[in-house]
Order: sequence, then C-alpha cells, then structure tokens
Amino acid sequence: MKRTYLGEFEELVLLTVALLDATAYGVSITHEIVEQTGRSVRLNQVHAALHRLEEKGMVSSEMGEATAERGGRRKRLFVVTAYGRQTLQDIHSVRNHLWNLLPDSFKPATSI
Amino acid sequence: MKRFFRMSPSPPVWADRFLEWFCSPDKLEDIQGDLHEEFYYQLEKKGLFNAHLNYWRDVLGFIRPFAIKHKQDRFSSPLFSPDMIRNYFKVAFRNLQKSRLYSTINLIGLSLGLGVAIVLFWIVRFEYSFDRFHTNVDRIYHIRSTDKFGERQSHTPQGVIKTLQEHLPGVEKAANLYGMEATTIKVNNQVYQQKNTFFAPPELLEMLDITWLKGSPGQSLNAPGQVVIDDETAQRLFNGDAMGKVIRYENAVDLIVTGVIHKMPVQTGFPMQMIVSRETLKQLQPEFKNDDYWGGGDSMNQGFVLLKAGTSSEAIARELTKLIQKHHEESDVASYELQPLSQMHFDTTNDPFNYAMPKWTLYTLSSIAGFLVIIACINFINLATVQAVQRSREIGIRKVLGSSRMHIIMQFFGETFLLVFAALILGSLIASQLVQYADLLLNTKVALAPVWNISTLLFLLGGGIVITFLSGFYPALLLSGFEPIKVLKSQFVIINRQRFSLRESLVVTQFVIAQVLVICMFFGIKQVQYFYQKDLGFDKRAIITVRMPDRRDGVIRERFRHQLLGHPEIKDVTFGLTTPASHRDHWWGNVLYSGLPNGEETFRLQHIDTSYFRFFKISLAAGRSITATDTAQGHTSSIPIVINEKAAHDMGFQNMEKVLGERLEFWGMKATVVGVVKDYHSEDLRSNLQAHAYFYASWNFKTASIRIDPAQKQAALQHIRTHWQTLFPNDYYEPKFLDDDLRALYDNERKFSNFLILFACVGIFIGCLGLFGLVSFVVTQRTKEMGIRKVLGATISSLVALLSKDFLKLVVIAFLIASPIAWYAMHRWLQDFVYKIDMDWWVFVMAGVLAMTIALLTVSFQSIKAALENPVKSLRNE
Repeated sequence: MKRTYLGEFEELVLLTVALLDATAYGVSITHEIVEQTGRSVRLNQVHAALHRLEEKGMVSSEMGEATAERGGRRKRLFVVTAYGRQTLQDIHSVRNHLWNLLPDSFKPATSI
Repeated sequence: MKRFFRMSPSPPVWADRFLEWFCSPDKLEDIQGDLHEEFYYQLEKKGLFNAHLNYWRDVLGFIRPFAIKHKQDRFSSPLFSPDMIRNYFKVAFRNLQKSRLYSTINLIGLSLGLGVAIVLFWIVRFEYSFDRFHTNVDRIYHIRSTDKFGERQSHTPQGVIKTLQEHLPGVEKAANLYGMEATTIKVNNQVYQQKNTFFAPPELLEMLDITWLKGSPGQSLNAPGQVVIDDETAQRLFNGDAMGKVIRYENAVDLIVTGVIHKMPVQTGFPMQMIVSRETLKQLQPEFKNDDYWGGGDSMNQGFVLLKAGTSSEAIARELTKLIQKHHEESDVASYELQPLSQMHFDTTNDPFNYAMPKWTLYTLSSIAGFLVIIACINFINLATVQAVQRSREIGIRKVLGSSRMHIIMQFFGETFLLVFAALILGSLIASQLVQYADLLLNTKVALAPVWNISTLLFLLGGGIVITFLSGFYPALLLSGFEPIKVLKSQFVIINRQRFSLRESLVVTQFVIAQVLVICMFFGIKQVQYFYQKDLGFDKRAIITVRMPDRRDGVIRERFRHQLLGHPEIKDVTFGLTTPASHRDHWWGNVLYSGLPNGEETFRLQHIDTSYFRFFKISLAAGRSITATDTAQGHTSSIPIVINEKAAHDMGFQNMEKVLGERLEFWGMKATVVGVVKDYHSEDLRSNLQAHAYFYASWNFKTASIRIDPAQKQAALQHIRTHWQTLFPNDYYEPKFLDDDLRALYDNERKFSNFLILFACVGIFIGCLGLFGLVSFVVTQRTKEMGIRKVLGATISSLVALLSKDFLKLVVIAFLIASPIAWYAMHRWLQDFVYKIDMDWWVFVMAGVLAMTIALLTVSFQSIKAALENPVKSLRNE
C-alpha cells in the first residue's frame, strides 16, 4: 500500500477541521484559516482540499442543520477520521523528530 | 411577500444560475450554502459591490473537476471506458504489426504521396502569397496596355504616370519603376555585378510596404545620384556600414548611399536590392527627361498606381484610354487596363522583375498532388479489403461480445488514423527534404521562404482527417457489416458476382492516373528535346558572348576584335545588338510601307555588324549583306537595310529579288532594302517568326559574339578574359555560352517536364506497391491451388501466367482509358507552342509498354516466388 501524502494546504485544512471540532464546514474553515494564518484563502480552494481529503479518507462529512442566512440550505459538516488523526500525528512526530535533530544554533533561543 | 418590498441585497442571480447549471447536484447544496453565507459575511464587511465581485469570483473558482456535473458516467458503455480505448489502440497496433507487409506498403505509399502533396501545397501557397503582404495591396495596380497591333505590353511611359498623378481624381500615387537585369558597380576599386537594380521615384517606395532601416523615400530618393540598398547588399559591399559611401554605377556616375532597407521578402514582384533615384535615370538616359511623353517604351519601365479607397480601377483605365487620343502621335497604345497587384505574378505576358507563374501550372500541381494521394488511398482500401477475410473472426467475436457496428467502424477508423498519422510524420520529413529541390523541378523560389507555420499544420491536420476518411470509409463499412454467425461458422467467403469488382476498378483508376502521368512525361521530355535540337536557322555552336560595356566606342571595339583574332583558338568575332536569338533587348520599329496591311507593321530591328550574317552562317535569299561601304556613307537620305523573308512576304513579295531596292520608313528614317536573308528563329519556339529589319548601327552594339575552336575552349576563354580585362578594367566580366542562353529560354518547359518525370515515377511506384500487395495476397490465398496444379504437372511458366494474367489485364484497360486523357492534356499543353512535336502514336505505345513492364515485374516477383515453392509445403497441413 502506498502511503498517502498530504499537501501542505491539505494539512492546513485538516488541522483546521480538527481544531474546529464538529463545527467545521466550508465557510468556517476558510475564515478560521484566514484568521489564524493570515493567508488569503478562497472558498473553492478549501472545498477542493476537503474533497481530496475525503477521497483520501482523512475526513468524513455529513449534512448538518439548515440556517437562514444560507437560504435554508444545509451545511456539510466535516470531522477528522481516525486515519486523518493518525496522519496528523505522524506528520507532527516526524517534524518534531527532525527539529530535535537540528543543531542548537537553529533552534529559537530559550535562555540567554 | 415582504421581501418583495424590502429589496434586501441578495447574491447575484446570474452567478447563482450559472453555478446551478454547471455544479453537480450532490455538491450544489453545500457549495451554494457556503457561497451565500460568505456573501452576507462579505456584504457586512466590505459592502455590496465587493460582495458581488467576490461572489462571482468564487463561483468561477468552483469550475473545477470535483464540482462540475458529469454526464451519467456511472452507467456509460464499457466500450468507451479508458481500458477499452487502450485496447483498441493495442489491437490496432498489433494488427499493423501482424500484417507487416501491407502496413509497410501503405505507409510507404502514403508517405510518398503525402510528401509530394505537402511540397506542392507549399509551392502553391507560396506562389499565391506574392505581394499580398503590402498593406495597400487591394488598391495598388500594375498598368497594362494593348497596342494597336493587339500585342499586350507591360511598359508605361512617364507621361501616363504624370497624367495619373496630376489630372485624374481618385489616384493617390503613381510611379514608374525601371528595372535592370544586371549592372556593373564599383566600390573601392573593386568591380561587382549587381543584380536587381531598379530606378524608382520616392512615390513608388511609399506605395509598397518596405522596412526602412535608414533613410526614407522622401530624403533618400528625390535627388540625382542617390541610391538605396538593402541590408544584404550593404553587408556584401560595405560590411554593413553603408550610409554616405560611394558606388560607381556602370562606370558612368557616382551614387551616394542615402538609405538602407530591409531585404525584400522572396515573394514579391519587386526584388529590389539596389534602388537608384529616378532623377539619376533621367541623367543617364535623356529620353526619360520629358515627363509629358506618352510614347516610346521599354518593357522594364513599368507603371504602378495606388488608387484612393473606393475608386474603381475600370474607371481610371477608361479615362486613360480616352486620353490616348490626345497623344496619338506619340503613342501606339489602343487601350489601358489596371491589373491588381496580386495578379501580377500570374501574368506571363508581362515582363516580370521576378518570375511569373501561370495559374494553370498551379492548378496542375494541385490536381497532381490530389491524384497521388488518391492513388495511395486506393492502395489502402484495396489492401484493407483483401485482409477482411483474415480479420473476419476478430470482428465476429467483437460483435458477439457486444460491439455495435459503430464501435467497429470507429475502431477501423482508429487504425487508419494511426497509419495516416505515421505517414503524415514521414511525409513531412520527405517534404522538408524535397522542398530544397523544388526550384530544380519548377520555376519557384519556395525554398527561400519559411515553410513550417500554422497553415501547414492546419493543412496536415485537415489532410490527415480527409485521407483517414477517404481510405478508411469503405473498409470500415465493409468489415463492420459482417454477420457474426456466418464468419464464426467459417462460412465466410467474399464472393464476387460482378464482372468487375470494386477492387479491380480501383486498380484501374490508379493505373489510369499513373499512365496519364507517364505519357505526359514522355511528351514533355520530347518537346524539350525538340526545343534544344531544332535547327534555328543559324549556327549556334561554340559561340561565347560577352556584353560590351561601352557600346558606342568603335575604336575600342575594333581593338578588341583585332586582339582576339590574333589567337588561333578564336575563329571569328562579330558585334550586334544581340545574338540572333535573345531573351532581352528586343528593339522594335513601326515600319511604314504601302504594301503592308494597313500600311504599317511592327518589325524587330537588329543592329548588326558587317560580318554578322557570315558569322552566324545565315544565308542570303537575295541581294547582299551590309558592307563596309555602307557604313562609311555617313548621313545619306536613305540607309541600306537587310530584311528577312517573313518581312518580304508581309510586304507583299513572293520573289525575293523583287524586294531589293524597295523603300520603307521607320523611326523617322528612310531605308532601302539591299538584301533578304533566310528566316531563322530569333525568339523562342513558342512564338512565330518575326519580320526583321537589319541595319548597321555602330552606336548600339551591345553584344560581342566570339566563335572559338571547341577543342581549345580553355585557352580561348583565357584569351578573351585577358583582353577584356585590359580593355575594360572597370566592368564586370561575364562570358556566356550561346547554347546555354538558348537553353535558358526553355527553362520553364524543362522544369515542367522534370516534375512530370518525378510525379510519373512516384505515381507508378505507388501504384505498383499496391499491385505488389494485391498479388502477394492472391498468392497466399491460392497457395494450395498452386500446389495441386504443380503436383498435377503444371509448369512454372504457366503458373506465373495464371497469376499475372488478371492483373495485366487491368493495366491494359487502364492504358486504354489513360491514352485519350493524356492525348487531350498534351494537346492543350502543346497548343501554347508554335513549333511543337507531333503526337506520335509510338510514344503512347512506349509509355504503355513501360507501365506494363513495370507492372509485370512487380507481379512476377511474387508469382514466380509462389510458383517455385515446393508443393509439399503448401499441401502438407490441413
């Protein structure tokens, strides 16, 4: 089995979905990313990433409640699957491992 | 209801509709929901306009594969799934590989046919592109006229140009252009030959699209002594830095370079490399000084006019024709016409500055290209149908497994396209090699122009589709029509109930085309040979001609003659305006004589030395030649002239002795006939004999003709060069052989027959390829029969005859059809020539025998192989 790779943007979206915990849907994820990272993200990019993540099995979705401002349309709410969680953790530990291997000069100073 | 009045802002309706149109239904709800939510969010934060903008941007952003509606692909036919498509290609490729012989035959045939067709496409496109690059091409006209004897002329006197400029409304610009074939120039004491030298006023260069690198028409060509050269010439003469430099022109006048233009494109009727101001021409040739003169003429002095938008060219031409009345004393023109610039290139009655290409040649080229491709397509069809038997099982199985007829048709088209595509690539390779030799086959310069561009690609694509359709249509239809039960039960046989099958008629068609080409080729070659070998009425052997730089200086001319005659390698020397037959420098005179029809006729005038007739071995029919006493007479009331028999006949005499002493008048001079010479061909053999008048005019001896000892050619040439260079150090030396000059008259015909040879060979070759394939198929089909016949005692020759007979019959039928077609085509072609070959029947027979022999060789190669085979091999396995 080939390992599924996550793109940088996909990883960001996946993390945001995890962060928002059960209130993650297109608009909320987009706004959250804009707020937290300051990068200009568009709805369609987020949708595309969610679509790919779902295909890869990292997230699952179901239709949520309808709201007035959406003209009575339901939201598609996303949650991170166990596989997605596992992947995030893998990525995190790989990063951590690599950070630990870095020479001291590269690390942010923790003491004077 | 309430919302109706509130008019609250809502997302743009059109964007919404668009989204609903393209978005897949299962995605629409949440995407649209998100978009709406985002819209109200933006509305609050950034206002209505930005929210709208943002909405549109987002909607457009959703045009992505994941969100777009797909057409019911879940239930689509498995026959068009990617796997099956891959399978089609695989099967096609394997089939091509399996029947390697047929594929190769098809590929070679198609590639050759296409290669030639592509070259011809390039040539035709190139010839049609002449002068179309000028911005004003639709408004520029070449002035043509017809003289009162009905001859078409291309010269335009300067008076006509002045009238156009000053008196006719609707004319924007008008100008003369005077072209020289080759001139001698001198730069820094180095002598060069300069081709394509022109004299032009600024107006002419303003009409045309010319890229000026330095200078402009107004500054660079309005005063005497100014010259403009193109960048290539600037590089050649001055290493690029040309402005302000001096060029000595014809050892007569110094010109200062006042402008540099970009080299003219190849496809122009104005191949100007050096343009001298018209004012300079007026100084060099005083006859051009009178701007109001409507008479005289030199076909190299042509006229061009740029009309204002909306002006009718016919109206201007009518005005000019009307104005001739005012100038009838000077002009012998009957009517003027304006020829669109884009048509100038196709006019062979014009004296072109570049070359002319008659349209019929282009039509012939295009149709030959078409025919060659058809021959190749026929191979394809024939070979595909004969293979049908072998493929019937495959088709049966495909059908049983659920292929529709359409699928099978598509599959066969796919296979055809694969092959055509490969042939296109190979053909392009052949074409790009062949195009370099195009000028050897035809009078074209296509090789100097870029050939690969978008229209070539479109041609290839379009051609590929048409050829795929032409050659794939019938096989696809035939093969897809098999009934699966029959072919799988092995009951399938192609039975030919018709007397003449489609395959046979296609083979006949192929050979009709090929044999027409072969017969035409033979006649083409024969006509060109005839041109070369026909007795012209004078001795043209071992003669070298040189252009005399100073045609007026008799002293230096006689010195040249004496020096040359001092060498035993040089037999004789004479001077004249031209040699007896020439391409240029035809001088004409309107001869007045009461016995002529209407009292006047145009005679060709030839200025000759006293030794002229003796030199060229032209015999006298009556009287005497011009003698030294005639030349010494000086100004007398009547000059002695010699005429030819044609002139005497035209003057109304049958007995040549009677003409002697007759008086006639031309150029305002009175003349007395002192002799009559036998007729000879003074022009190319396309034209009739001309009436001639010969007289001594030592001021106009432009050509020296030198007869040498052919065995001592090198020594003689060396002597001529040495003496010439000491006498004329400032002039470019270029000796020519008269034979070569005469041959050059028939360049067009020679090249035409060259290309017929090529096409006939390609045609026959492709046709034979097809024949080869067919025979080899028949042979494999009839192996068993052959074996049995052999076992029962048939001889090898009877077997070969058995196999070959049917095919040769087709070739014979093709010959019978081809002969009248070829006869008609050649009859039309030969009508252009006054002197032509007879259409001998044996030429047809020879062409027929040749085609038959080639076909027989092709067929027998396969049939002999089959007949020699050991019958044990073919009969062993059942």
